[in-house]
Amino acid sequence: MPSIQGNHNGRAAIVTIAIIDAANYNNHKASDDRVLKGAFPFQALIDTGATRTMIATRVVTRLNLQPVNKLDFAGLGGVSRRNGYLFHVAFYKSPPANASEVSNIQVFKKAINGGELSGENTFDVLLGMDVLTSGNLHINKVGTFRFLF
Amino acid sequence: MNHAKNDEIDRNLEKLLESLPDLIPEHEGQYALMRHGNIVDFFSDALDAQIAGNQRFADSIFSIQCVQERADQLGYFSYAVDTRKS
Repeated sequence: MPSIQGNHNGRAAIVTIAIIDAANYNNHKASDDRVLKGAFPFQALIDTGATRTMIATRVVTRLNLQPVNKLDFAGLGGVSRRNGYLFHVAFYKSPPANASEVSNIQVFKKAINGGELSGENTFDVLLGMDVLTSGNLHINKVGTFRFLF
Repeated sequence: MNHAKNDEIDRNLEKLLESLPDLIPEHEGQYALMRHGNIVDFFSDALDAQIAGNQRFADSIFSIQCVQERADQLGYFSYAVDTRKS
């Protein structure tokens, strides 16, 4: 079972991932090479309170993602309707040496229908339960975490 | 996003929401492939629905919509979602 590991500071766990457009390619299920086209590293916050994975507007812009639907999200201000996108999440087995490095990427096969996150945040992606429940997440007291998927 | 696609997504979502009470019992959690306000088919996986749409509609004027009643939650960072419509 593939796995990634990292550190947490007792408040948050951040992991480097890639987001890859899944909406415009019909052969993603059969070809890892195609999946890796356009891979770019982003910082993702692991959030077990989020039911769906969310991507910041800057991720949408960087990858030129096109919406496939709209999704309703409940926040403190009520229900908000946001653009939804279809993408793959890919994990780096070790931090990439440069933005274009794809040799150490492991792709999460399930396509994610995630929403767009507005506002300025220190992270690019909220990694939600739609991804986390497809694997095993271990967060331990010595300041590390491991995700097997 | 072009206006035609955006209008299609909005129209399909409104039509789906109108039909939601009838769809939930049999199709909750599935993805509806929709075009011009009509449901074309249901799929258990979002990517399967998108691929079917890409193959059937060369103009890309379609949307996929999850059949679900509840809004999704954003946990601790729920404050980051404002109430403006995109």
